Amino acid sequence: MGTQGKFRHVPRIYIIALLVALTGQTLFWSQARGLRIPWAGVSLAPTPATARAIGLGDTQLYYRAAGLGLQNIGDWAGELTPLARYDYARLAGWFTLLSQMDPRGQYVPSLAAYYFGASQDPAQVRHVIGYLQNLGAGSPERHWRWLAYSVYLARFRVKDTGLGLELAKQLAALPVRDMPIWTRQLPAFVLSDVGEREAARDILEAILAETPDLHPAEQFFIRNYIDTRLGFSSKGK
Amino acid sequence: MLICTKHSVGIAARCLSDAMRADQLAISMTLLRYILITALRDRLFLALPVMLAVGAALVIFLSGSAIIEQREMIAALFGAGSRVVIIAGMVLFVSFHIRQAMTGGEIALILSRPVSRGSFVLVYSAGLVIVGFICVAACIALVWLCARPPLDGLLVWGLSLALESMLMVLTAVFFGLILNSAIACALACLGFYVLARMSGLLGALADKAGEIGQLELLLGYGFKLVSIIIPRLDFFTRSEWLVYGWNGDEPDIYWMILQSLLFIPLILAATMIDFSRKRL
Repeated sequence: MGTQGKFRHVPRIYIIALLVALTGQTLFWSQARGLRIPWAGVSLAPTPATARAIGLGDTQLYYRAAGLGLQNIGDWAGELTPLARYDYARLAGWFTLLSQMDPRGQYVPSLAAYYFGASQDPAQVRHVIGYLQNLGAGSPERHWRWLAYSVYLARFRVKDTGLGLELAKQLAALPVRDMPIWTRQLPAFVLSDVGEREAARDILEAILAETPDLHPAEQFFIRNYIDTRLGFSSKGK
Repeated sequence: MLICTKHSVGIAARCLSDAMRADQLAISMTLLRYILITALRDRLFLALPVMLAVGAALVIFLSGSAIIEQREMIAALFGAGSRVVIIAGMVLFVSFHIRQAMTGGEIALILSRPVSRGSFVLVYSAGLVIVGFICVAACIALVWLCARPPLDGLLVWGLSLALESMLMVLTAVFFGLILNSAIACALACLGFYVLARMSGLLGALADKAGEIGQLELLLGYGFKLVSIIIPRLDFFTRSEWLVYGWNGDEPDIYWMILQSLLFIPLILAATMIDFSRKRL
């Protein structure tokens, strides 16, 4: 390995050139440090083929890296972007693409539901609901929970009970054996919200009739709900 | 053991043959030691693990901000990142090692001993593959420490990375021995790697190219032709194995092993043929 000679042997012109360049660089830094490149907004999601090419065939890498990118999109270089400024139609495109990359992953649905679903703008949240609805309906065994969460978003964020009821019915009709009983009860809860108490009672009584092996605590809850919340006397009490 | 005397021509010939074989074995062992020593000399066994450790630290830091599935995030990002570091590191090492050995006359010196060029290619490649395996072992240990992936997934992933690194080391040996520039060799290898990782996708696109236009159709035919000899590296080293474990129903692992068994003799034969024609 070569050894370094003494500093005083370096020609003086080189040192002057270095100092001039260093001064220029310092001046540039002092002027440019406050400049920020403005965020261009959410970009269009690429096609699945392009995404696979970018990940060099490793779809899990693309799923995680792009997911982390989505989580931090708009928030960089010390700038924070309010959710209202995001293009949710494009975000929904990204969610859908990434869920195609990893149909088992829970990261992107969680990001969509809990982070982007926190928007105060109902129009934006509808995009999230659409994504969660498609996800839950597309692979109910794995993702029925996201359909349940979309019911919550529709009822309490968008305040569209009609949409909430439609989603709740879709959830209750899913052909998944291991779904908890409350997913079947959900349409009744939404109906009772809009004053359709008789329809709600019919649903709950149908559940009682169709599932005789229901846990006694669940049976008690349903009967109690019919009695106290809906104001009817339940059958078989 | 044969006792060599001058009384029998047949026995003398066998003695000579045995002596040459022993000599070749000794040369092969020397060559293997030489490659391991040069890897130590070039600080490969220091540089790659340090790079992997820095990468791991960065990935752990980044993944800490993920809202959920932080372990899965580390596994996927570090798994893929370490694969790229291992492959790029080995390709660069092999490319510059061969060029240095060529210009320094070390290869010519080895070939002045009674060793055929074919044997040289085999032993030289084996030595470099062993170097790659050592780096892969360090990588597997780091992945285990950082991401705690499912054991079955880690084993399949590690085996796959070992095979992938072997294929790329052999490819680098091929390009290194036929090209006269280390940079050209490294770029050719990395281009080959990108093509190989994308070969499944490009093949699928080539099948549909006719629907787009005539130029695309021609390009599609061109890619189909090239894809005959490009290995399907998209079957190899998938981060999802580190995230979800190995799915036993997945047949890709058999394709991966079959691809390795077929491509290794292909690239070795091509290297031996080309190197036996080369003027040193």
